[in-house]
Amino acid sequence: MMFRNSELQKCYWQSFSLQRFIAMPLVIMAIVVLILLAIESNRAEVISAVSYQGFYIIVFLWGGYQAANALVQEVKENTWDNQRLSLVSPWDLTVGKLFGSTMYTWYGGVILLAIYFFSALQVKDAVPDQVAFSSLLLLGAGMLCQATALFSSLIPLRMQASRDQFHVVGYFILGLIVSGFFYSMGSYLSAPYSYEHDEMKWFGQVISLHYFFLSSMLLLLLWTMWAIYRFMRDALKFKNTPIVWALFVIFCMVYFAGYADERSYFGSILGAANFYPNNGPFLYAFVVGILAVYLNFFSENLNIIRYRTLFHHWHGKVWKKVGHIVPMWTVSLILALMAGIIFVIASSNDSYNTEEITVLVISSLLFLLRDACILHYFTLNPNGRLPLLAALFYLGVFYLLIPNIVFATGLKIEYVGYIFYPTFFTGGDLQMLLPVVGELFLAAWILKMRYQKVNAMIEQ
Amino acid sequence: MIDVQNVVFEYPGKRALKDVSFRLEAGSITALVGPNGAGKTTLLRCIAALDEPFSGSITINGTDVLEHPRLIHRQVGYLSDFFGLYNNLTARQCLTFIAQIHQIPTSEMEQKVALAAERLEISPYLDTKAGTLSRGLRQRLGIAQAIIHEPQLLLLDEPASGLDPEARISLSDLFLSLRDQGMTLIVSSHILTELEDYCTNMLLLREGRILEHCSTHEKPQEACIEQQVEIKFLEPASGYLEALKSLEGVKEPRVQQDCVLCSVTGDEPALHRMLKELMQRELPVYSFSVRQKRLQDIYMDYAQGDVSHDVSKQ
Repeated sequence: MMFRNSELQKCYWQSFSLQRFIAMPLVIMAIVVLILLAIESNRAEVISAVSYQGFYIIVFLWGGYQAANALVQEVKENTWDNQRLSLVSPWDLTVGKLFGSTMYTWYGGVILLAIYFFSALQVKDAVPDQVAFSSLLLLGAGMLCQATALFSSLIPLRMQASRDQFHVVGYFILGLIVSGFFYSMGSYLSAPYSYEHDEMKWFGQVISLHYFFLSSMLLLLLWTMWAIYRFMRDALKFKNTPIVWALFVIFCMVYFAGYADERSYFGSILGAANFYPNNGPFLYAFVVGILAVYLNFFSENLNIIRYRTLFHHWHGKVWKKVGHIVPMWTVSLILALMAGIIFVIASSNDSYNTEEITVLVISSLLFLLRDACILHYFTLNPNGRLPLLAALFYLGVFYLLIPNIVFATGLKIEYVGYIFYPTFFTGGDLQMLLPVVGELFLAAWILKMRYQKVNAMIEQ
Repeated sequence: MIDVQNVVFEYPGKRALKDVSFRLEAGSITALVGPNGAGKTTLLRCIAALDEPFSGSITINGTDVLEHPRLIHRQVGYLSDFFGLYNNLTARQCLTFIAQIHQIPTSEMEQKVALAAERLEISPYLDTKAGTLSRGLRQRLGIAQAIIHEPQLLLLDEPASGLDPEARISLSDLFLSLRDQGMTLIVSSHILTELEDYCTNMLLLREGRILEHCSTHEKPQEACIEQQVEIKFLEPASGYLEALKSLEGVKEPRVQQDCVLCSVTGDEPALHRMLKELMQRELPVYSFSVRQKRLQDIYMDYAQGDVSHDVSKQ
């Protein structure tokens, strides 16, 4: 068989032999026949349940692992540079890596899905829409699992981690966790009674929970694939700008803001409506912005060379190159700041809590900057081992250990919480910003010392 | 062909290339030599547009590597030090895959695969799995992959490491034939004696700096300001050291086995005058030869810190 996509072609050669081609349907058919012979009643129900679980094992577990391993293996076996030096398109590489590495598992998966679909329709009182929903959900969640596993395996490459820092099992588990949410929610929604509660509110609009859920999963899958595509562009030496990341953050801000103004299923979990009933969506957007910055902190290459190159182009006023190399966290920070400003402006109609919200936004951003300094202190160290882990440790000390020691002495979070956290618990007062300003200055000064020292070391 | 100007490359905590500049002509074979950690691989990767330097510029046939890396990938073939192969694919499949990712038209694919295999003399092994090939054949397959799209510039990082002597000799022949077919080659290696067989230039890198860029095959009078002369006498050579010292332009005569080695400053007429003087003094000379500086000699001069200019700079 010849594929136009070279990566798919290679994976086909690697994955398929005549023996493997025959073995997969043969084993599946043998299991089905065994069930038919062993069980006399509810055969369709048992076969649909077994094929449903079988799909999970083959596509999620086996396929997820294959996807997590797809690029890691290329890097470890020194074949990745060949592809980077080629003229292959990033899209071909994205599709090839995602569906090529998992080709054999999809071969089995599609057979099982077909068996599930037709056997589930034979079950007594089966609702065709529901069977179709479950099938689509399995398909989507399986793809999402593999895409997430592949995408997370790319993060260490983006961060220029050393080879022994590639942990395939970790990426695979991340894929299972992300898709597992959709898989388990989907299983819940596939149950017959779920159709009786098939509605939810998003931005106040009543929407079919099933379709919203499926759409959300599809959107997440598309974003994940786009993220893989962007990585491939970068690896193949196309120039990326932060625009797509900015679009993703804005999308998330809008998407999650939709949950805030009603006590919907998700809205009640996140609970913003309880604290800021009039400005919930803006708070959600702001929180998403802040979380995006932290996500960048732990998924980007933030070493000294990146900043030296950035400043080199900045001083040379080569703005195009600045755009290519600027860390994404700065983009997320700007978006969080904008969301914060909108949050404050929106609260100006609500005289009761305007100052409180202003102080909350400012303190959140100041804590964020303090954490940025702490993180960069470690990532800028050229000799540091596991800098992110070290940063996490110290953030744990500042956010958990020290505050809890203080609270254990009898001081209450309502009175002194602003020293350790954004003023979420303490109400708003501008004076409450003083401690975090001091912490920020101290962290920034230490970071400056580190930067100057490492700079001097390189320029020696 | 290749113009590298003021290239600086940094790793966190270390500057790997320090203001590296040189120019290579088309059709040359350049030996890139230097101790471990000198920056050879980094330099090759920058030229191949795999890594981006901190500053400086690299152009290949007028194309800016940093601005148009994808265009460079059409022109460059690269075999890395620790290259990998898809072990469970046959050699034919490996080559077809590389031809595909270099967007060679399907109609030409088979012919290109056959040609690359023929050039590397691996045609009989095309249907053998890469994982079962010997080290030498794997190396050949790796090079075949690197040249299948017929690049104008071929970068090879330690291509002869791990090969047996026979395979190394045929590798030398291969490089010369690729050069004759119009390719420019840069070969990084530690095995200097073999580089000498086919290299036209040497680029000596040490601690991220170019220490020397010289021709290895130029005539002595053009290449050398100071030349090594080997003189053999009918009688024990030690008796003539003083006589040699008194000759104009002769430096540091010393006995080595059955001959005297000395450095002579000057060009061909200077050597002629020296020989004439020896004859006039009726010294029992029966052999007089100018030893071309070998690549290894040049390298060792620099490696040992003796940076006297005994080769011409380009």
